[in-house]
Amino acid sequence: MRANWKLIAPTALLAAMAGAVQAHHSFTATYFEDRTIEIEGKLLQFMFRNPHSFVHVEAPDENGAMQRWAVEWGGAGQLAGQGVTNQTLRVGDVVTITGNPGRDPSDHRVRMQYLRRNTDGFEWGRNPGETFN
Amino acid sequence: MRTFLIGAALLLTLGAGPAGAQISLAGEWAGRYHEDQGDRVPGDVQGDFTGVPLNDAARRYADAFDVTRVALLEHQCQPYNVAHIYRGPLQFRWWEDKDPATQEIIAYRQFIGTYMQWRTIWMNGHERPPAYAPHTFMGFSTGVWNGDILTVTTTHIKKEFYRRSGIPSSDLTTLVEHYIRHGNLLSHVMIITDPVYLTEPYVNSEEFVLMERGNQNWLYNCEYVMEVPMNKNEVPYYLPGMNPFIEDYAKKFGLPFEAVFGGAPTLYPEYRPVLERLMNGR
Repeated sequence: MRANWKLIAPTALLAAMAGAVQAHHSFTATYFEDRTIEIEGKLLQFMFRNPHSFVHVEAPDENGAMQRWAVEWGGAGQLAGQGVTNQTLRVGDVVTITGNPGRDPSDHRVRMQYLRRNTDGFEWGRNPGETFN
Repeated sequence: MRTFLIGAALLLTLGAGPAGAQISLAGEWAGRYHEDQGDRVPGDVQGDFTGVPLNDAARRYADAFDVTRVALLEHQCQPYNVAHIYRGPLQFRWWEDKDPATQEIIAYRQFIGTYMQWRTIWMNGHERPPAYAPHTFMGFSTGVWNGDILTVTTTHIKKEFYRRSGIPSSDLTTLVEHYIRHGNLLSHVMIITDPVYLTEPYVNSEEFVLMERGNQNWLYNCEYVMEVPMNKNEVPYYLPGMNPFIEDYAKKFGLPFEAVFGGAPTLYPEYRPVLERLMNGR
């Protein structure tokens, strides 16, 4: 069966907008949206909340020094509409995250684009609608 | 006698509605973001001051503003004020409070999903509080119908921002709104005056659509957390002239920074030759 993308795209957009919350800050002003980094490490904290959720991960920086990375994710309402709950991630999970790096490198912050839990292959960010604003 | 009775009945029927019978705005309305989508939803790079009649005080504030300041514990859950909140994604519920005895409208009420804000728009001649009365994010509002346009005037608004790029608003802001319904569409026009940060009225407009099927997404459980590990006593800022991002928007769109940061003169068609000269001079 072939997916009808003409239908899926507007539906996904409407679903995303239904739970949309305005970021308390501008993403583009906070992150380099034309750059991507990948980090892999152990999850230290999962804050499932509004206006945006945050995932803290202990992972090495480009020099190999361990850092506490703050990864910004969607608001609780918006993620809930995508099947993510406050139980989806647990402290100690080993995850690989791809996203936009913060404009201030010393912040070690990332805007989530893709997440994969290495133990069971749980993924977020590859399916239509798995986005946030 | 029969003619008289029919005439009286007709008169009563015509007069059945209250003197101010107006188009109803009751229902649940969801925003549409075809206009200014970049600014209103994801936000753009820093330094977008276009379209705002900002004054020198606002420029100074914006120059010192670091966008990560809103991530501080004190600000994470701070609502947008009434002159700003309609610029973001939101839905609102509108209903009427009527006097049980006369069925005249006492007030319109709004519940805004984002930040779970409540508004009351008094329609019964409610006296405006004195200037020293507490200011809130939604302010104090009174309304009046002009034909089928509801005009709402709001004062006593808490200080916040007109734009996330750091254009500040003051607690002397006055907001005049016009609600104009066309079927299931609602046009919302905002005219903002602010003697502290604007040189002339700042005008915005948004569109809303009546939700025929409501949803349950009305809660906003904002929690304060340390989003990014940092010294909680540190307030991000830039010293004057040291903001490395302030020209990012101008650079991204190939505009002279003077045009982006120029305030009221740049809002009018008369500015086109100036812009042309600035761009040709580069």
